[in-house]
This record gives sequence, C-alpha cells and structure tokens, in this order.
Amino acid sequence: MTWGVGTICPRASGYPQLSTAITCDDSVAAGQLVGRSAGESYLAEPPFDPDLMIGILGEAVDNALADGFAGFRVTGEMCWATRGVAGADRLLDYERRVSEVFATRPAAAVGQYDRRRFDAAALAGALEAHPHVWDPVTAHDEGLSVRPLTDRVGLRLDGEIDMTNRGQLRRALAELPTTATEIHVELTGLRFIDAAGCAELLAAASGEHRRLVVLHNARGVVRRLIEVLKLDSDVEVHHS
Amino acid sequence: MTGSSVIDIAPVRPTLWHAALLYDSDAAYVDGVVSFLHEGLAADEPVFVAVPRPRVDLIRAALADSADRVAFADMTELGRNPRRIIPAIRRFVDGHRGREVRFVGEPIWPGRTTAEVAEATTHEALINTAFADSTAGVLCPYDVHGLDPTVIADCHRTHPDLVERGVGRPSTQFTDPAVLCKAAAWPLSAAPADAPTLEFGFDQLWDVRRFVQEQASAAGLVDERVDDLVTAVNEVATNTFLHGAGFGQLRVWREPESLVCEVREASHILDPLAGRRLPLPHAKGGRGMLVVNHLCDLVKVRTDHEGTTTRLRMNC
Repeated sequence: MTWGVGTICPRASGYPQLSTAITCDDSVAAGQLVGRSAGESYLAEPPFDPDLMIGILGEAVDNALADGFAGFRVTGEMCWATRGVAGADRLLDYERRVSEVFATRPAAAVGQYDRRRFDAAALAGALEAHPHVWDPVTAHDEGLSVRPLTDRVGLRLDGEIDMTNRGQLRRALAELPTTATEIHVELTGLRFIDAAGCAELLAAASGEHRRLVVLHNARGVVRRLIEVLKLDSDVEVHHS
Repeated sequence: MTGSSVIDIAPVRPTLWHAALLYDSDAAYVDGVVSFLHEGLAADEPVFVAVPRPRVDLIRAALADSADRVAFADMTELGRNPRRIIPAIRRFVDGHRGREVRFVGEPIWPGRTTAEVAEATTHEALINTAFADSTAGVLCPYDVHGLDPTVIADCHRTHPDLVERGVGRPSTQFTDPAVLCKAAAWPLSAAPADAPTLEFGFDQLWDVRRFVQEQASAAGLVDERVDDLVTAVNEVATNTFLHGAGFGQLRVWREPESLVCEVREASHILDPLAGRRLPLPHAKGGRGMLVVNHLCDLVKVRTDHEGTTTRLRMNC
C-alpha cells in the first residue's frame, strides 16, 4: 500500500534535514512526499485562516486519492503559532475542525507541538483538540490502549485514563456505530480513571444518541470512583 | 418549653434562616432541635438532620413516630470533612425543589481538632453564601459547655441568628462570610522542611500518581486509602493544569494519626464555593473537587498572593 505524504516544515531548511533523516529522495521524485514551509502553507495568505487551510488539506487528500494513493498523511510543525502571527488565536479551532475532516477519510494528521515553545494553557488546549496524543516525555508503557470489542459493540480499555489521554476515549466512543442501542466497556485492564474520564462514559449514555452503556469488571480505584460518582444511576455496572 | 418562640422569630422565611442553637444540656438540645423539626413537619416541610450518631438517637427517641419522616445522617461521617456538607444539603434542597426545607447540622462537636474546627467554621460561614437564595431553615447546635469559648464566639460570627433557651435573637457579631473566610485568618501549620517533594510540570500526572502511591504505601496507608489519595491528588493536580499555571509542587508527610498531601501552585481560586457546587447533571466537568472532598478526611484550600495551597488529609 502506498501512502501520499505531505510534510510542512517550519522553514524551508527544515525539509532537507527531514528528507535526509528518512532518505526519501525516491519518494520526492515519485510525487509521494511533498514539503512546505509554514510560509508556504499555514501563512501563505496571512492572517492564518482555518477554513482556507482545511480547504487546502481537503484538496490534497482528493488529489492523493485521484493519483491512486491508498491514503494521505500529513504532519505539521506548529511553532509558527507562537510568533504572534495574525490569526494564530484560531489554531485550536483549526485543530478541532481538521480532526473532523480527517476522521471520515483515509487520512491521518500529526500536529507537532514543541513543549519548550508553547505555554501550558496552549498545550492543554492542544491536548483537548486532538483525539490522540503522543508525547515522548510522558509516554509510558502504562499509557492507554483503547480497542474495539470483537464480540459486541464497545471498547476495551487498558492502562490509565487522565486528562492527557481522555480525548482518545472520547474519540473512540464517538466512533462507535450510532445505531447501536448498547455499548459495552470492558474495564478489566483499566488501572486508573479520573472524574472527567468517568464523565465521558456518562456522556456516551446521555448524548445525542441515547443508548445503554454497560461497564464491565471495573477493579480497584476505577471501581471505587464509579461508586463514588454513583455512575450506576445512569449506566449499567456489571462486576464479574 | 417546646420552643414556640422559634416560630416567633421566623414567621416568614422568604429566604435563608440560619441560626446557632446554643445548648448546655441534653434537655435543652432536644427541646431546641425537636421544636424546630416539629414546626417543619407540621408544615409538611422536608427535614434533614445531620448530627453525631449519639445525638441522632436522642432526636429519634424524642420524635417518636415522626422520626420516620426525617432524613438522618451521622455527622461524624458526612461532616468528617466539612467540605462535604454543603453539597449534601444542596442535594436535599434540589431534591425538594419548590418547597421550604429544614436542616439541622452539628458540624462541630467536643473533640474535633483545631484544624477540623477551622474548616467547619468556614463551612458554617459559607452556608450563608451557598443558600442565600434558598427558602430553607438551618439550625446548628453548639455545646456551650463542651466547646472552646473561641468556637462559641465564632458561631456568633457565622450565624445571622442565635437561639438560646427557646428564645431567638439576631447575632450582633454576624460577619460577612467573605471577610470571615479570608485565608489570612486561617493560616496553615508549617509543613515539615524535609517532606518528600515532587515538582511536577504540565501533563506529568502519571508521575504524580506514582509518587503519591509510593509515599502513601511507604507511610503504611492501607491499599484502599492509597487508591483514594492517588485519585484525590490526581484531581487536584489536573485542576492546576485546567485552571492554574500548569505546574506545581507536591509534598507528602506523616502527622501523628494521618498522612498529608499538599499541592502548591500559582493560581488563585476566587470562588469561595469552589468544590462545593454540584455540577449540572450531564456537565462533563465540575466533579473533581467534589470527589476529592468525598475521598479525603479533611481538605484545606488557601489562596493568597503567592497562589493556592491545597492540603489533603487521610486518617491512618
């Protein structure tokens, strides 16, 4: 399977470094890898305009598929937004909406956030705006794994859920078929969840598609929090 | 002396009536509380009593058959951490929307520690803020013989009304809750200089949890309480990211009968009722500090010019 790859680097010189790192001259020649600086992409027509950028990316996906590629991947370095450029305040709005655009297509996007350049509030916003987060500083083997169940509609959660990966749970719940009248969540392997993570489970039961949510086999601290928050008044709780 | 005078001082309660009942004997206690409850029951008002267990039994006996119409709670459980009490009253008030309700709450009893009394006193002051717009009667018994004179003096400051020997009067010492609750008035004891410390940055919640788990286990807390403390500290640290500077300092130390966890960070909590408000039923946020208050035996939050210090205590 061949993937079209678009790369947007913070400056033109970033692209040769990247291409050296992944030795991709052949890919460039085949039109499979494309590099753009921030000035050539996000800021091509200042101020930064989420609608314009989402349009450009949508077109890039269309073109990749028309050219016979199986899908499209893009990664963008976001430090340009820390330089006080006009429209940078719309970055998170852009991130949220671009996720929605990509969710329905054979496409993937990685936004790069340099934790030395963005302040805590901006990073917290970026965490909220992205359905998945990869952070080499805090990534642990004990992170979170969210997998679909094979025998019923639902999810198996393993690891720990906190504010840094809650979006992963929210996204996975949102991706479950809206026609399902029951959603099962297997919690055997979940070692921690916070109050807001529990609220995501509740929201799946009370959201626009009302349906029964069944929590299975919560253990230890997870079970305790489910009891403290009295989730059993809104969802079904089964312990083996 | 089945205090009809309590009715006299509160013939109409358009909003909150909040009084301290000053008692010096079991008989005075039962007279004061039961007459207040009888008035409520006669008017078909929902009534809720949260007092220490032995006093629950006294009141039950005095109410006889009417006791079935009263909701009871053991205040040594419900109010061990006084920050749990306002949410409990709020649930009761909201559960009887549109009706006048009565609550008897005794958050301070002989034997409470100085630290607990400080939290219970600010809790009493905040009842005036939390239920300012509720049509409710709140009566709080104070044992004038068993409690320290400073506690009795403070109850004159936290209650707009006083009831003594069946006679009600306004308190001349009543103090604006915002003034009474100022952090400077309730200084925290000094933390030990050698307490194990973790400086945590943005999104290092995993490290925060491991640190608390290790420290609490090493201090001999049983597994369930370790879990509770991990959950509680995680919520407090999460708040520093959501509302604060995005980094903080975590310290843990042993006290004679408890383990204390302290989170210091640079933000300022300006809402005096933070952590005591119930979230809307399907709101995603707003439950963190309620959970913390439920899990911990005592919670202290102080905001000053340097930021906010939150101390969580788990009894061992």
